[in-house]
Amino acid sequence: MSDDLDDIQAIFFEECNEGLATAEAGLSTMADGDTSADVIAGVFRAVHSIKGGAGAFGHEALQSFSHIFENLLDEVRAGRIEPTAHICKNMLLAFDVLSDHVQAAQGFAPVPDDAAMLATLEALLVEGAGDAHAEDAATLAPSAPAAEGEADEFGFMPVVVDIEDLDQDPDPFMDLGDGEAPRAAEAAGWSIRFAPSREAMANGSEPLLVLRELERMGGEVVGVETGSLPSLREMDPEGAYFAWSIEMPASVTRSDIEEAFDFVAPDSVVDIAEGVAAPSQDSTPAEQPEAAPEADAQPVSTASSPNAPAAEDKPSEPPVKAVPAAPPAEAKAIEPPQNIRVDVSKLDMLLNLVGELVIRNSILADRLSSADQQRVELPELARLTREIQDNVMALRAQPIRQAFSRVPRMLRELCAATNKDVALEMSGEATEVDKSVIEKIGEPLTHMIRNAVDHGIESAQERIEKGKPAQGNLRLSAEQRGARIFLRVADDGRGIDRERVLAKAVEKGIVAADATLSDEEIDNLICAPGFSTAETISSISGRGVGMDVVRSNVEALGGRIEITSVPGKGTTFTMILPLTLAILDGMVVRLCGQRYVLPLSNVVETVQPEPGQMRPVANSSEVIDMRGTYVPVKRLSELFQLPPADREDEDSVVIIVETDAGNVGLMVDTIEDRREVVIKSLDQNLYPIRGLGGATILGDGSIALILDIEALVASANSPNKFVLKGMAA
Amino acid sequence: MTKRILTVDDSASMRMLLKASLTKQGFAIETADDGEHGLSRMCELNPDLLITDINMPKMDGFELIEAVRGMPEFRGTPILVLSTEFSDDKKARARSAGATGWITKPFDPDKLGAAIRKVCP
Repeated sequence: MSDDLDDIQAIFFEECNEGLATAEAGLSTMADGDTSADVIAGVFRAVHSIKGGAGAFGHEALQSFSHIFENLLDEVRAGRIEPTAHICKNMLLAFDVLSDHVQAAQGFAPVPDDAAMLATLEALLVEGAGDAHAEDAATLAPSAPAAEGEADEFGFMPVVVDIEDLDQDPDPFMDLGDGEAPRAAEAAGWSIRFAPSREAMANGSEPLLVLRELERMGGEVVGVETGSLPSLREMDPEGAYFAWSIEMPASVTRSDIEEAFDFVAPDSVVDIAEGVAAPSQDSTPAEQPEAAPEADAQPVSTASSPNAPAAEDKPSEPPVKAVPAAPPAEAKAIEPPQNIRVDVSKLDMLLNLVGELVIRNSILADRLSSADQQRVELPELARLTREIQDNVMALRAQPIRQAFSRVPRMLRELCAATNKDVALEMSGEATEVDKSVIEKIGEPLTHMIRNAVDHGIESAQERIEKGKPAQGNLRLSAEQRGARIFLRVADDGRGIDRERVLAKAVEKGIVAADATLSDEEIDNLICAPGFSTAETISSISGRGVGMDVVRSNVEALGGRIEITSVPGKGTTFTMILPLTLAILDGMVVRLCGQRYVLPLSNVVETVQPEPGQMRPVANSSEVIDMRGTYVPVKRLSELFQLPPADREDEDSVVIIVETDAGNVGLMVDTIEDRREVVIKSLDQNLYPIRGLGGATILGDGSIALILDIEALVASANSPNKFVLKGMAA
Repeated sequence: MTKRILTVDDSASMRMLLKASLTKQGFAIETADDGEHGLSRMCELNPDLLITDINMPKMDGFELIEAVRGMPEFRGTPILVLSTEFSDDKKARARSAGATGWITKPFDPDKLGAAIRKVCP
């Protein structure tokens, strides 16, 4: 059972996380002013489910917290508490504590200290409703959700007359969850009078089962009142007309007896008196209870003797003959097959294998004669392989929402820590990206957001002075363009102070004092190693990790960071990442006997220069005349410090690539092929070289390096050597 | 005879937990994941007992109970509510919709089994 339970619990935690996401989205919507019933109900249901599961799996701290939270939500849902901005804000804070509780229940974190939050919630409940009901709900002990409270004014409350103790919980429509302490019976035993209400057999109830239960417990029916039985003509065949007197032995506790009456209809009379006394009123000697009209109303066999149902009524001894305990697999199999949970490592393995398959496929194609290559089997095999590859990639694609989901909370905490008020806008959460990318963008994203709140957005006071709205704005967006995903973090803060950045960079020796830099280059200096403009290291963004680390992380993913800033208006960080880190559509080129792969997404066109088409310009750089437009040309061999090519320009090829810095021509020796390559990362022992994105195995089994065009061109263009760090190593 | 029970709950873990603990006690359990699904499963299976959650998407427990109770073939079928809620007005609502009994989550599997035996002849 414990494995079984663990499996189910794992699913419960998944549900918790889904529930948390729903709740957070809903609460944010509410905080933004949309407090429609659907939104509130969604949040309520999410918290409610978490509470239910928490109880079932014994996570008491989580259960009690979610209980109080749910109470507040319930009041809001019922319209008794108005979802003001104040309430919504506090509910978001409560949500954060709830998330922590879920983490704690999973053993990922210590149980959070929720005393303050609980007090806040209870205060909100009391002040929001102000009536006895709300106060009741707030102060109820969550672990014992017994139905206390005022008498039921609708008359649904069944009447349990308890002679001994009128305060006894009068609710036979009972809670099984409350483990109330059984009260010891006195020596004399019990006498009970049970008069089912006329409607006792509605709703599928069967008073006969109560009598059988009492008999099973050792009770004996000692009398039946038939006085209210009408004539046959007036009799409702589904009505109940008898009342019974039952004697119970002293060994049975009062609560056991009360439990037997759990499901009797409201308005039924149940008198439980201590001591075997003569039952009240005009009871006639015991007749067979089965002779009661109930037997006619419902086809319960009159032949069934009190002993007969004992076997199935005994809860402690479930029938052995029945279905054997379900093995875990069976328990799962019955669920509708909407989702299958697969271990990520299996997907990774599959992806790796498919990658190998693609490579072997190319090798096979290379080795066959051209006649054989034309045969239908090979193209078909190639097509199938590619389809498998696409499908495996699709399996790993996840909405980027996952990476975004942590942001709202992080922002709230940042706002609290910096005492700023920042609204968050998110868009493009549904953009699908390979799982590997999602896993790795969390940290850069976090850092960019911290940076924006800490350095970018001004304090409310400063903003008002500048004529901006007091509340700052942070936009987070994701967008797919071609094979790349653009992730933007845009703030409406003060923008980058270029003067200060440049002064700092000079001071730190990152750029020469006399360097002339464009605005863009200055902005990008904040990503230079060892650069940090924060005057004092704050606890938010000054954690020893600078934007340079963010940049190198992003570049390690085959991406890059762009920074645009307008002084006084704000800064936008853009992370441009490949959709997948596994496959690349590439152009294979040859240079000095080596082969390299260029991402095809960068390639605009290729030309073989005519004599005179290449022109030298100042500073030993060159351009190529492309139909009247001059495009700068870089010789790849020079960039990689390879021996100069022993060939004429006219025998070489210039590949025009599109980069952030505009089109650039890269001169290589020849173009060999165009193919999809599986990206293999370079060993971590190798010094990271900007401009190289990885390596791949080509069809003939040889290895080719994959070029990172953006980084390559950026480093070639940079007048400052910091970006070239490593190139010479 | 093995009693056949339909449990309706939008939480997969709750459905599995119910199924696992009640199967052990000799009941045959079928599940549905919301009120709408529950209603169609009811008609399909005609079980001995319906156990339903209250807060569910699409069709909630109250609506499900009302719909089921409104069908002649289910007039006498016991219906238990299994919910984390426990307020009197909710219980009254369930009762007037046609519920036979109310059990508050979290449930003790043995007690739940005993409760089932109280409504399911």
